[in-house]
Amino acid sequence: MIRFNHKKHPGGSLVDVLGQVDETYGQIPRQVKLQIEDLCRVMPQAGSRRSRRSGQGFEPFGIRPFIQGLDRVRSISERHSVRSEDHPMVIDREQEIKQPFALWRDPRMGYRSRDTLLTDKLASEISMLAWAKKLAGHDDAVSVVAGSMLHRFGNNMNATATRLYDVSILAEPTPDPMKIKRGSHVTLWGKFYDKEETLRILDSFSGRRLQGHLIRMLDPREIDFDFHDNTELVGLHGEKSSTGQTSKAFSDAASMRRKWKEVFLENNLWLAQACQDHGFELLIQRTDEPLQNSLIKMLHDEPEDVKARLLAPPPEHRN
Amino acid sequence: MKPLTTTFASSVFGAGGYALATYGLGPVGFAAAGAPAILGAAGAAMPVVWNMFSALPPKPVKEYFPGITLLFNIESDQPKPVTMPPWQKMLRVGALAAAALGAAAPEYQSALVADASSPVVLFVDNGWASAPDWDHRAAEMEMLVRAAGQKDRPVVIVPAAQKPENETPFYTLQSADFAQTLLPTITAQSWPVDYTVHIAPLQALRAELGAQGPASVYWLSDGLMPNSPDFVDALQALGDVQIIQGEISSGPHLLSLDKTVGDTMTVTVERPLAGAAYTLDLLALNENGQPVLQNSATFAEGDTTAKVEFAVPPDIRANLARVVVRHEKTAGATLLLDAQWRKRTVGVVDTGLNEALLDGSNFVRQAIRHSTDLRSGSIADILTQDVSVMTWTDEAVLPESDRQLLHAWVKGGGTLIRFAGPNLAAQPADDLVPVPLMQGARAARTVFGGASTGALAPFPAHSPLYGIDLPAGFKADYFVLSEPHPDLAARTWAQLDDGTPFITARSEGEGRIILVHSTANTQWSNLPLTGEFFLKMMNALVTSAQSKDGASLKADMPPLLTLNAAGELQKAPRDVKPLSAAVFDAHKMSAVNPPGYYGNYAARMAYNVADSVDEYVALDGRVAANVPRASYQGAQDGADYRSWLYMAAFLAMMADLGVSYRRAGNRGGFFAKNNDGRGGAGDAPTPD
Repeated sequence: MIRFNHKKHPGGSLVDVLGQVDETYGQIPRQVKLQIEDLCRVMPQAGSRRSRRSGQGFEPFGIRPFIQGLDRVRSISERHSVRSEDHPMVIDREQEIKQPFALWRDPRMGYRSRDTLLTDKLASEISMLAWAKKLAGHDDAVSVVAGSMLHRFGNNMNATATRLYDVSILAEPTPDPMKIKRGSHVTLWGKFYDKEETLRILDSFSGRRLQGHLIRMLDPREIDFDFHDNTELVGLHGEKSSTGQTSKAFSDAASMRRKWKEVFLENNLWLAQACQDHGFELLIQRTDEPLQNSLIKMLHDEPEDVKARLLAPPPEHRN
Repeated sequence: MKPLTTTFASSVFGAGGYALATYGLGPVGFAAAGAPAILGAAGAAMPVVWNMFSALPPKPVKEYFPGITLLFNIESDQPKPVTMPPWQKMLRVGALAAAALGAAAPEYQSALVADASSPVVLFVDNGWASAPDWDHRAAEMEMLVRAAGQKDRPVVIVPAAQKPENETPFYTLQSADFAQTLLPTITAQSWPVDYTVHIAPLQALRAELGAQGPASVYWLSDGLMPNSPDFVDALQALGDVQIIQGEISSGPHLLSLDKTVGDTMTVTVERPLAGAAYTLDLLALNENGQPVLQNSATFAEGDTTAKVEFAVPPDIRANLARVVVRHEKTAGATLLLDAQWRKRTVGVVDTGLNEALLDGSNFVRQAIRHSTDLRSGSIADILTQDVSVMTWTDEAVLPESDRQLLHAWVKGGGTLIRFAGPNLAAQPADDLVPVPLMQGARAARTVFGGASTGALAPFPAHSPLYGIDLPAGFKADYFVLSEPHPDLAARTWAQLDDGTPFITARSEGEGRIILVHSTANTQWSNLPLTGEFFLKMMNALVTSAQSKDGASLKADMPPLLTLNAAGELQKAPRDVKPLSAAVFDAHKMSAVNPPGYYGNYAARMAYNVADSVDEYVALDGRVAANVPRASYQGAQDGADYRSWLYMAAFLAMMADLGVSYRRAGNRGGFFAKNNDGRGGAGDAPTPD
């Protein structure tokens, strides 16, 4: 669990964690750091990023073995394959025109059931850090947009020549598209249960022709709803209904579970449709699953089958 | 449960509770004043309380859930009635039942005390032998008094070895409640029980109880034979006697000093019952309580006595204070060693030679300096320092006034160890010698036709030197020769191989005069150069001297330190009186003369339990053959179950509280930093 000093850094946890990448990264708890590093080590194995934007870059940035199913056969470099003798090799090239990135996670999370080790908020932050490191290729290329200020860290002038992307992390309670560069790929982590607020965010981004991914971080209990009889549920932040109701009590968990699954599936389908309408792609990430699942899908720009994802049995492999 | 059913169940449970309190449950009864009302009410309330718990739905389990906004518009199809789980109802009703039972004060009621109206008499042996199992005895006393109270029988308590100021409330008919208040004042003591002093009071008690019928008499015996057979008769005259006693097959043990020969101290260990063979350890302790010697005593099967010999080097001997049985804390298992055994205060008459190397007194000092407290100076100075032994070498020529002082001191109990030499040989007409002496020194080769080689003959049995190895290479060249005398043989402690007396001694008044017929230096013999023999000889002579004050109880000796029941020395209590010869000789150890040290720190006398015990045997068929016997049961009989029941009620309530606390949505226990569940399992939510 990352704990942040809000009095010292009123901008929020991300400012602390990512804003001072070089020095603050060393202060991240070892366990979290290991998870980030693990995630970063897994990501290169997934191949290069595919972009929906047209155009391909020419800058080579790496030579690696050919991966069946991921690489086209025509991308094999004969010269490098001959040198390696054993494996056909491909050259990773910039596959898109240089693109800026903007990352944001909803700070209003922090739920963890007994079935998982990570809170949804921490899982989001780990995913975002790993994604930022993957994209930037260098910590210096990460910047944080907090309020009206754009904070860049490290020696940008020297790094600019070598880095591939600009990655901006939004450290605000709600993402402000006005501070994001045009043409940026936007990734949003959150719950997105509030339809009105979600639509407002998507509208604001699509209005600036910003596209990207929306990753819904779900605790397994939100999917399975494994509560017992005679339970009273309350929100994490004092959420109220239109009638002022702050809690929901039920005596028969089985019936409630069935109802919840119906409503929850409907909500996810609505969210997927809303994302699609605004140029975004919805990804589902369970906190008890490997976090690279959603990142790899985002990397390869694979669509999410929301219905199948939610109706699938619980995964065997968990964090 | 329907109302009619509830009413019926309440009636049944209420009646059951009342009956339980009234008639008890087997040997378990209820001592509280309103026990039937308490248990009856509790029994009647239980079905009502059960129904009440059934009617009150438990609070729902509070959980946090991020998707709450989607839930607000959902209603479940099949709402179930919410009732408290049966196990939780049983937990709560069980807590109530345990508390009610505890309030009714259940206790084990002994079958020893029968229903009757006649008094219950407790005769409690609390002498030194009761100390090892005193806790059992105290529990038995408490149980018997409580049982007497339950049957409304008056009680008479008689502690057998109580102190005088505490005797008032005893030998008197008391209510059981008042008798309970007396119990804490009865404790184990350090002296033996003198049963003879109880015969007359028991007879008076019989007269007092006459109209109330035969009493139930319980003799909480220490298992030892009383010192008066009439005591049991006096006890039986009161009513039916039952003896309750503990296990004595392996103790308590009684220590006494058997004898000391040379460097060997023999201690006798006694046990009351001739049983199986076993071994126990004895420790000899110094003044600080540190063990300095250890040996084992082995009781052969069927024997009641074991002897233990300690080889005591002179240096250790001077500091020995007591002998104890390891792991046995009683006054009888503690043998105090007194001035008879411990370090003597020895005066060395000053020769005026300034401790010259060949001065005889210097050899004497070197020989006994580790085992005695030495005092030097003029005769007048030395005699003011309570010395018990005086050494006088021939170099010191005393004026007549000092000789008179010395003579008077010897008559008063002092021991004079004198060495011969040219001065004495020149003037043998001296009253401070044990035997008349011939004029002049004699050479060994000239005596009796030159038969002597100047070596020592074996020591006679009456000599304190008996048992000491003869020195190799000893040779006396010159000595003073005694005149023929009828008591010469009896007064001779050591002689040369031709029969010439070499060390003689005689009593003078209360004291003793010892003469070594040669010099203390090397002028006439090589005696001071015999090394270990000279040391042993001098220490044996010094030890043979009686302590000046402890030689006999000429005068009453004030108490100094006394033993408590655990065999520990403590400052003598105020009510302890000086020890007189009459008390010592009559074996009347008591509260006013308990075991301990009497006298003063310079010269003290040990008064041990063994000094007052004539016969140390177990209570056998010679007395009270027809009296039934039992062993202590107080530990289980007197059990009070209230604390256990209250604890059970408390635990049940705490368990219920814990369950309710968790059901209210709390996680991680009472002391967790965050228990609101938002972080799940004790994790705090990440705030922003």
